[in-house]
Amino acid sequence: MLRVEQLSAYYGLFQALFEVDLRVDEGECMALIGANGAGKSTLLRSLVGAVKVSADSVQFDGEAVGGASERKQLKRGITLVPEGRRLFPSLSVRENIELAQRHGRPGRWDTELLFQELPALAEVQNRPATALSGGQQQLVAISRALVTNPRLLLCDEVSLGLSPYAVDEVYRLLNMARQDGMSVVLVEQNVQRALAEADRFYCVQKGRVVLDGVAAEADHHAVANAYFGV
Amino acid sequence: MKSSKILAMLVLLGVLVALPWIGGYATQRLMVEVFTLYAIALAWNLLAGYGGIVAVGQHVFIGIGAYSLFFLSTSFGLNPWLMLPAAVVITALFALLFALPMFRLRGAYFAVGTWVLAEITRIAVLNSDWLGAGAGMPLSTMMGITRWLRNAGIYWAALAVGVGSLGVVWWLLRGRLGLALLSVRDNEAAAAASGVNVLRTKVILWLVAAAITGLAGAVAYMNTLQVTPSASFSLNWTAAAIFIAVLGGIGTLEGPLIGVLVYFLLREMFSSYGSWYFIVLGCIAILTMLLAPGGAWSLLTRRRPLDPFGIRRMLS
Repeated sequence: MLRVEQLSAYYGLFQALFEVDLRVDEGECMALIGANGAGKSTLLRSLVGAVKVSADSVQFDGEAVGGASERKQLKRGITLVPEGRRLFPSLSVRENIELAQRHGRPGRWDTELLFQELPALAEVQNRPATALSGGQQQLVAISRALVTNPRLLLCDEVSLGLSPYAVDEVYRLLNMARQDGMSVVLVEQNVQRALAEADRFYCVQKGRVVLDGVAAEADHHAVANAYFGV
Repeated sequence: MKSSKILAMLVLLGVLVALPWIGGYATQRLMVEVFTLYAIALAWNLLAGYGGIVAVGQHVFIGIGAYSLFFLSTSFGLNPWLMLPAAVVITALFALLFALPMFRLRGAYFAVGTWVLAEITRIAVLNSDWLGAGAGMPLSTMMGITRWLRNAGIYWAALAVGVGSLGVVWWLLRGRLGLALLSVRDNEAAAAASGVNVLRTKVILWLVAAAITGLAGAVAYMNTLQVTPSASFSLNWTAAAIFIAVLGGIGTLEGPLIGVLVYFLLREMFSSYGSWYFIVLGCIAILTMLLAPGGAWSLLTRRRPLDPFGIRRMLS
């Protein structure tokens, strides 16, 4: 479904990604592993159009879509759950989700379905989104992405700073999406968890893919080496 | 409760409409200033408080609106009131023309960019003989109209501008665009990630603010019967709008209403003190920003939530 070929990304003169190659198949969960500053977030941002890259370097269903605007990628079905959640403090939980739904793709996922699946969130739907606990805020952030009915969901550090219980809730929601056939890309600090959830993985180091493979067969020693760059 | 609220508003509106029969010319002229400046502050607040767009050069629209009215009315000998819609359209077109270059700029650059636009336009008008150059233009088409009708007519136009602009902004914030606006103000990157067309949202806001400001400017200069480049393209307009919005509460619909009342109260009481008046005004603005950044409205809602316009959907 998604094929990334020779993707290079820059912030001004600084090159953050060097000729990255990877793919995500239909319905697959892929984990991106790497230390801080390795370029994982840049990679996700390149895919949704927040960082401009060459058209050929990102192919979605065989179509060259690199560098298209975020709105276009959203319409194609690529949605990002940004790092740090970035909820809108002026809007209520419901409004945060409804706003995204309005601008997304039509489909099964909508505000009502999410409130049905997440009763704890339904209870606080009229509160300002940033007045919730970190775990609940993360659920809102993921809900906001799900209601755009993506085919490819990109999750940037969705479990960062959450309690173990909240992390389980987050993954329960993501697994529901996966059962629907959504493809998911996980960027995770928690390597064990990422490998446990994903089908395949890529290790990124200093802007380059240095290791990839099937998650279940990952050699922890090799992953640690790729992670720390030793 | 609800019907009594409506009744109170109707009574207030009735009194305001009947003012030409109750009050003298001085009162009417003061109220024209109050309503037009209110609309201008409301427009500034709409841009800054709801769109996160700080326009220091908003006064360019006052000049454009006023000059459109004066030029069309005197050139073709047409009734000035009938030219008010034309002034709105011309100001909006002007805003549309400059929207794209302006919105290439961000933050402080945008703020200064709009100021530069206002200065360039002022200098262009100053050098345009067909617009009367530095001396400006008189509104000669007002000549055949009786003094009472002229004053009352301008007052009613100003009243319509004040009430109408509040209605337009209220409608805008209640609707679909309201949510998108708040999301853009909160976090542009996240708004884009949620599929909001950030540029389109900002441009709509810019056009609405321009149209309101242009109309208010046209009515304000109908009141003075003479428009000049230095007065109409003056930063003082925007400064007053910012003062009113800051004092009343940026990003609230009630803020400019309270702000404009305080502003004119201060002016009527203390403007005879000359430069001391401006120094005190500046100090009040600084103190408000330091001690009550949410403005006067935030002090009123600190203890209990008030929502007279019904646009805050949060219960919290």
